[in-house]
Formats: sequence, structure tokens, C-alpha cells
Amino acid sequence: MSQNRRQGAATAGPEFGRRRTLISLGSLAGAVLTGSVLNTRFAFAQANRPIRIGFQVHRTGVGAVYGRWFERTTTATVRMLNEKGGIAGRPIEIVAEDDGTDPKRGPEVVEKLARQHKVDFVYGTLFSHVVIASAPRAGELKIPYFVVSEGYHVASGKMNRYCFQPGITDVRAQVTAVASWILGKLGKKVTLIYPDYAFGYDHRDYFSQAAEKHGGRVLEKLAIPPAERSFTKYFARIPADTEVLYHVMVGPGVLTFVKEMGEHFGKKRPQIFGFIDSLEGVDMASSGLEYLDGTYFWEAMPRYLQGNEPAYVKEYRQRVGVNDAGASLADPKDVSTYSHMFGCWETLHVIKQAVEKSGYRDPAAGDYRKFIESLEAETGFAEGLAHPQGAKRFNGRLHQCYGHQHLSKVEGGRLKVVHRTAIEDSLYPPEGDYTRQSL
Amino acid sequence: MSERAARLALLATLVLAAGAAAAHTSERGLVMLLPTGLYILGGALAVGLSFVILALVPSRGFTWLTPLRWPVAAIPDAAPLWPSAVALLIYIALVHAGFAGTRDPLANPLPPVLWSLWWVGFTYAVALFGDLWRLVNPWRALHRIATALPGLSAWRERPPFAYPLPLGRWPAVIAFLAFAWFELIHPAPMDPAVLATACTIYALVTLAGTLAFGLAPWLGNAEAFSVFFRMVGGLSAFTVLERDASSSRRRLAIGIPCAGLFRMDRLDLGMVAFVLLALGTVSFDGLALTFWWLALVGENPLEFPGRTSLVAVNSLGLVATWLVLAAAYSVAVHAGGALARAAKAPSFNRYVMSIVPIAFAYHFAHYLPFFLVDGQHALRALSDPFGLGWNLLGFRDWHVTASFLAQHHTVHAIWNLQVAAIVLGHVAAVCIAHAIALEELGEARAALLSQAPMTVLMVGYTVFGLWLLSTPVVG
Repeated sequence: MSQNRRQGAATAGPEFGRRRTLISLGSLAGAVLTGSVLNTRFAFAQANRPIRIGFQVHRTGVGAVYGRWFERTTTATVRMLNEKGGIAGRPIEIVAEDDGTDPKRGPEVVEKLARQHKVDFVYGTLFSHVVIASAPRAGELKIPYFVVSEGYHVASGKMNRYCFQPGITDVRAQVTAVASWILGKLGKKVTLIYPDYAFGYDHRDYFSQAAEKHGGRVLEKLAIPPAERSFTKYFARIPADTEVLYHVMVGPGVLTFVKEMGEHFGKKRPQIFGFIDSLEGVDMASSGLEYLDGTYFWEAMPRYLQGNEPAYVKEYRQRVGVNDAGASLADPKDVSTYSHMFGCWETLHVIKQAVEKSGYRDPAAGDYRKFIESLEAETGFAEGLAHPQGAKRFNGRLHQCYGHQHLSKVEGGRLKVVHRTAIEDSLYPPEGDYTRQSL
Repeated sequence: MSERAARLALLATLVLAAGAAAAHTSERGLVMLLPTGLYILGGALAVGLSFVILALVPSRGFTWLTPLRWPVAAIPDAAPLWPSAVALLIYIALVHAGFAGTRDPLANPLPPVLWSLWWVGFTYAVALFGDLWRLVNPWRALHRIATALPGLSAWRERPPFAYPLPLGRWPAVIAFLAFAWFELIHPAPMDPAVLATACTIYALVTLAGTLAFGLAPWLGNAEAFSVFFRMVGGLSAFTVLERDASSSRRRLAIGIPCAGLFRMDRLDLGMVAFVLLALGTVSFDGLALTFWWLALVGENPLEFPGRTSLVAVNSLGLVATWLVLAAAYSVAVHAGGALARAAKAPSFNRYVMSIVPIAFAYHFAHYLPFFLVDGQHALRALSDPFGLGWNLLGFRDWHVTASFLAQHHTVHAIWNLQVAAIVLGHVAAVCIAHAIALEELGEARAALLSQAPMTVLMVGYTVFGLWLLSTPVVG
């Protein structure tokens, strides 16, 4: 992570670790190049050890597109925090380890970060199957493990006391929050169309529960086999009296899905609602997506600047290098994973706050206890530059945060926010309590 | 409920409810919007048609074309040592960075330089300009340094062991299979430390081999990349002419592309296995990412389980692809011999040279998007290889972008390049096979008949190659 390296150069901490490695390997070149500055930095580093945050990043493998933006956001967050004095006056050092988006490598990475790199915390895992595979190892190693995933795993109560998801709302809360608006505004008779595996089942189950509660009716549940590449035959099974089509397709077939949906329905169509996960990182103005004009999407954080945002949202965009359309400032065609990456920014701010509140200093059992109990005592985070997506309610027993969700309409190749849910809309009966587990 | 659905349901229960952004849409999503079926049909027709056209070309056209070469420059008789020494220094620096640099596999210079600039980009360069690896492989300098040590100097000219000739190219086949396994199957070939370890082991094995058996015998038979790049270099229009008695220098000449393959010597069975392995591995790399393959091995392509859990099944798949290809090749050559009723059996070993352009076409097409993205990482990482704030190449602050894989027009352009490469590779293959058959069998009708089964194979492989580039894949 070259950006972090450069980041570190200004803070002394990261350079310390790097230089020690160089010398220990007996590299003549390394020693000559670095020796002159080693001593002064060493002394400083001893007195002011950086907070080392292990970044379990999907740098390669199927998660790499998300990983790229998680890395950029993390770098931007750390740069800003270090500019402002770091955490409790200590510089932050990010130690990135790629897990290849591989559930089998996940626990190895957690262990490597904890034991070899001796980080204070592990953070950043996104893909649910990697989270679920890695979290138990963090529990065994007794190191706080911060997930930025939106999966319903931490919140399910089935992880462990060391796992937290304080920076992004889980999918169950997202679906619960949008259901009342969909049923109230778009229609009561809904057909669900989703990929035939766990990700799709989350939407099927949580939306069906919510529909029941809000007096809606799910007419048909169309599960699409994951390897399917043509969808026309499934559209034919959508009941004619469907008022809302709820879709959550993902994968390379999404564009074909949209095209065939247009061919099937034409102008006479039900209201159409989807999750932006389908088109995260894709320009909404791409040709082929015109049919989506007038349809609705869930967004965690609005990708397109709406114009009425507070200044801290603009500052957040500028710092993570994203323009008004949610694309990179360096390459306006490079669309960010805007609805997910704020979770990195907010999680790092939560870590900072918890370290400073708890007086955490070193990766020792006593300090971790203080840190975890302090974080569990939190009830929420105020909106602002630390939480640009919006205010969060935090459930210390579930280790999960709950925030506002956005319903956006596609208009002229942009997403326009038409409704922002209240935090209360996303709540559901909790299924666990981590504080009962021993530390 | 089908068994598959039941299995998925069970999985869903086991992993709780997995949420989060699953597979993203990608350039393949845009390719899938193109009329790829028509492209595949067109490609197959083009390759088939090239066979028909060859039937109309007088056979003397080939005997006249293939030897054409125009000298363009004089070059030293022996390859100078300094490019190898520079390459060795770079190799050592990269391996050092692999061990000591950042753990980020894209910011550390070793993984992107080795996998994108060298394995993909350098192969492109070799196909264009000829076997540059002879010049810049680090092994010559390594061998020279080792044999400068007291006690080993006698081995420079007289190694302690004679290379066992019956082994032929088989050691290179085994080495290439190990390399391909590492690249395609190992859980973490991008991990800087893992890769640095692999590079160190390979350098030590090569050093031991060159010391024990001599530099030229080892590089010619056992060093996978010397054999690979010599093979790919045969595609280039550039060749080095043999030195004539009156001169101390050799001449670099330009001729008909692929003619080098026609002239390639020392084609033993090991070389046949090597060429088929080169094609088989890159084919399997494409295949292993397809939704089709994942469904076949019982995995959900939208929830790719990661490389580790596919190690066993993909190891089998890799070897199976190679064996199926070898079987198809054998059948095609032998069936051709039977059809032509030639007095002389067609040379099984020599025809394999017609597979080389296909292997390169696959390499080119399959790795092109990866090369365009990871090449940027390589330039960026090389600009500051040790994380010391340098900006050697001026790319330190480069914004690595893959946005051209999300735009219709650029994806379309890349797809067209890929299709052109696959089709051209197969057309070249048909031509080379025909030229070899003409020379071997001496008679146009027999040559054509002998090539009919091979042409069927080539048309089939064109369809397969284009299907690989257009079907849904993970990643």
C-alpha cells in the first residue's frame, strides 16, 4: 500500500517497522539508504508507539474492486486523522494484508496481523463468507475485529465478543428500513427476484417479514440460479397484478438482466426497486442502463451529490477523492463503491473514539477489556465529519450500528434521493447479546 | 427440491445469512451485451475458410515464402553478459522487496512486476521481437558469478555431469507445470513473501542445474522459461542468422512472422508436451473462472469460495485440460496421416509448432485486461520499490484505474482485439501446419488431407477460445 507508506513517512511510526525489517534482513542497500535516519526515528517511535491497525483487505480475488476503494478510503481517513494528531496523540499505522477474498486465508491473515505484525486492532473485512470464516480466529486471539461488511453476521449474535460492525448498517436493517416506504409509496403487491443463494435469501426473508408487518403481500418469489445468463423466462413468471418488482441481482449478468427487463416490460411496467449493490461501481449513465430511468434504488450513502448536503459531506468526498457523481477525482470514469466505503471511514473514527475514551494503550488483555467495555457502552455516534453518512444508533449488546437509509430515483442517469428513512425504521428484534460472553 | 437447491439451502443455513455486496458486475457484463454468438460463428468460419484458401495457394508459394529473410543489423556472436547482470540485479532487488517491502501485493513491486510486466508483457515483447530471454535472463550472470568462486571455476566450461539426453525437454515440462500450478492454483501467488520464496527456490534450482549440467544444456532443456520464450520467439519476424565462416558477427534478419516456428529444431516428445502444456494452462486459467466450471465443480459462482478450497479440484482440472488437449492433438495428427494415406507418417513432433501461435493468442487475449490494470500497479510500485518516498519512474502517485473495463467503447475495443488475436492465432496455426505438411509430404493433395482433422480441431479451439472470453466469469 504505497499511499500508506507515504502516509507513514510523515509520522515516523510506519517507517520504524519497515526499517527494522530491512536491517534485520541484512540488506546492504537498505541499510545504507536508511541507516542515517534510523536512530532519531527509533527514539521517537519508542516514546510514541503508533496505533497499528491491521487492515484485512480484499486486494486480490473477487473482492478486489471493492478492496481498491476500501484501500483508498482507509488511506484518506488515516491521512486526515494523522494530520489532526492521530489517535490519542499517537500516529496511526495501517498494516495491510491481502486475504485474496478467500475464506480460508482470512483466519491466517487475522493471525498474521495479530501475532506477526502485532497490531492493536484488525479491521476492514467486507465479503461475508470471509468475515464468517475470520471472526472466530479474532475471538480466539482475543483481538478486537472490526467488520465493514453490511452482512447480517455480527448483528446475528453468532460471532463473538471481539467482533464489531460500528460503521455500516447490516442488510437486515437496510431491508427492514426500506420495506415500509416501498409498501407505502410504490405498492402493496410485490414480486421478489433474487439470486438463489444466501445473499438473495436475506432479501427474500427480511422483506417478506417486513411486508407482512406493513400489510403488503409478496405475490411471487423468483430465485434465479447463480449461473443463469438469460432472464427472460423468469420475467414471464411475474404475476400480472404485480405492483412492485423488487430485484437484487448481482454478478456479470446484471446488465443483461436490465436489458431483458426492458425488452420484457417495455413502457408498461410495475414500479421497480433494487439494491445499488447490483450496480455499485457502475456509472448509472452507462448506455444500456437507460431502462432504469424512473426506477428506485436503495443507497446507504447517496452517490450523487444532491446539493443540500452539509459541508462535512463535501469535505468527506474531497478527502476520499470522489467527485459530485461519486467517481474518482483522478479519473471521472472510475466510479467508486460509494454506498459501502464510508464504512471504512466511520469505523476508523469509532476506533479512534473508543481508544481515546477508554484510555487504551497496548495490546494487552486489560487494555482490550477497557476498550471493548467502553465501546459497548456507546449508544450512538453524531453525524459530522467523523460520520458523514449520518447519525448512527449503536447497540452495544449486538455490536452493530443502525443508520439512515436512502431511497433514490434514477433520473437522467443520476440517482436522486427521494426519501431518507429514520433510524428507527431499521430496527428489528435483537437475536443476541455479546456482553454475556466473557472477555 | 433438487439436490443442488438443497445443498445451497444447507449452505445458507450454515453460514448464517451472508449479506454484503457479492459479485460485482464487470467488463464481462458488457461483453455479454455484444452479439458474441455472431463473433464466435464468424471466427470459426474465418479459420475454416483459411484452410480452403490454402488449398488454392500453389505449394511453391510456401517453399518460397518461409525462407525469406532480410538482414537488418549485425550483432555480436555471443550474447553480452551485461543485460543478464542487470536483470540479475533487478531480480535480487525485486525478491528483496518481496521479503522486506510492504505486504500489499499490489504496492509491493514484486507481484505486479513479475506477473504483469514480465509474465504477460515480456511475453508480448518476445512474440514481437524474438527470444529476448536469451539476452536478459538472469541465469547467465548468476552462473558466471558462481563459477568465479574458487573451487567452482572449473565447472564453467566442464560441468561435473553430462546432461542426460534421454530426458530431453521433460524437466522443463515439469518446471512449467509447477510454475503454472503456482500461478493458477496456489492460494496466494500474489503474496509478496510467498512469491519471493518461490523466486528464490527457482533461482537456486536453476543455479544448481546450470552448475551441475552446464549453462547451455540446462537452459535448453530444463529451464522452463528459456524453453517457453524460445518457443514464443519463433512467432517473431526477427531471427538471428547463423554466422558464416568469414565473419565473427552474426546478423539479425527480418522475415515472415512465424517462419521461425517452421525452422525450429530439436523437437522431441518433451517439446510436444511443453507446447500443449503452455496452451493447456492458459486455457484452463480461462476455464476455471467461468460460471460453467464452477457449476460443474459444485460451487456457487456468485459466492466464489476462494482459491484455497478449489486447490484439489483445479489441480485435477489443470492436468485434465492438458491431457484432453494432448489426446485431441494426437488424434488429429494420426487421423490426418491415415486420411492422406501418405507413405511417410507425418511428423508428430513437428506439427506441434502449429499450436504455438494459438498458445500465444490465448496468452495475449486472456491476460490483456489484467495486464492493462496490473501493469499500472507495477509502474507505480516500481517508482517507489522500497517505500522510501522515491519516484523513480514518476508513477508513484499514479491513480490506478480500471474504468476502461466499465465503459462500453473501451470494453468493445478490447474485445475486438481479443477476438482478432484468437482468430489470427488459429489462422496462423492452419498455415504453419499446412507448410509443415507440404514439406513433410511433398504433395499438395496429401498435405491438405492430412490437415483436415487438425483444421477441425483448430476451428473447435477457436470456438472454445471465444466462448471463454464471452461467457460469465467470476472476478
